Amino acid sequence: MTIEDHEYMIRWVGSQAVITMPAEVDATNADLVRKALLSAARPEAPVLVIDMTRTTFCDSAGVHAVITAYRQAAETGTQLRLAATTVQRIFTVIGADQLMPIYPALEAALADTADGQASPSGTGR
Amino acid sequence: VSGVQLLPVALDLQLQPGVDRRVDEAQEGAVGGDWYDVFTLPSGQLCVVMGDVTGSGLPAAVIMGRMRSALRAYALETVDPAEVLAKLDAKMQHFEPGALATVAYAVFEPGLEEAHVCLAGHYPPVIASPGQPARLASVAPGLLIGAAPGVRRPLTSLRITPGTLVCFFTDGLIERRGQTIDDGLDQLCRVVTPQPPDAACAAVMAALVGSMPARDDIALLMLRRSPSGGTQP
Repeated sequence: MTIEDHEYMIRWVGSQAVITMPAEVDATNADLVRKALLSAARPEAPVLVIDMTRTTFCDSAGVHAVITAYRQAAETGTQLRLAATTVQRIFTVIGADQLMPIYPALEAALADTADGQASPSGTGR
Repeated sequence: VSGVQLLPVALDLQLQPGVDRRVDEAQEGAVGGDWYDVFTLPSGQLCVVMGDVTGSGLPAAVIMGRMRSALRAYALETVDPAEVLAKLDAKMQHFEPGALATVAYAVFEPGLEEAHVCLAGHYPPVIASPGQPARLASVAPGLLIGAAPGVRRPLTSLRITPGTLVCFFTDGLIERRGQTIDDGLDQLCRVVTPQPPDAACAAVMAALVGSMPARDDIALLMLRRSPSGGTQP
């Protein structure tokens, strides 16, 4: 496993899978990011938290990777959550908060519900 | 990486009196996914489109061309900009599955006194009125094209006072490594002033692009309502 692969390793917090996104997501790594997200958005994960709180740059290639993951997650029944700080504005502009709740911190995304069964109402919209 | 190419585009369009506009495009390669369109409807309303297809090169440019044509066709059919974007979205999801694009679509009343704006994942325009600092127009966001079926996007109407400049742009203008999007938007608002569009465009390109190599396509389109009112036919 290369160092780059390692960046996208999934960890589990209870029943929630967390995938940490790199500092920059653009055309040079969006394909790797997309593959990592798609492998994470599986039926075994009722909740997948995409942690972009350390991401400081994300262009349209990165947005495409996240939306592609959303499409697959909608099919597998995985609930996506997005935690973002610097790049949060990018996802609100594209209307991603209509697809998944967006949180200003990873802790908030993890704390919202423990089991992933509750609806995200009251957050992110 | 070569320098930025500026391609001022002359539109062969007879616009209403009192409407100035100017378009600049800077592109890294020969083709890309950014596009703009300006056209009038039989009602005399002026339509402005700014869009950005995700991806680059010929594939993005081909999809962009289809979207541009489709949007024009829907604009003739349907007055409501939100309905136009809903039809465009449905068409894209059926015929170009997997493609994503952002679009800002604005329909201006003749004379430009009001604009009805619908956004699909795109930045709202910057508005610069005489005597006031420029600001990002307060337009409700809507989901980008191609992401999910059956989405309805909000429509926002904006009053455009005499002498006001309206500036549409794509994200390539404000996205920079090492600064946040909000920094880029603030910088844009600081340099947009309600002057004639030619000068306003030149000022924005000089301040935000300059001689820096562009990483992404950039499109910039400005319109200004005549300072004297400009509502006369």
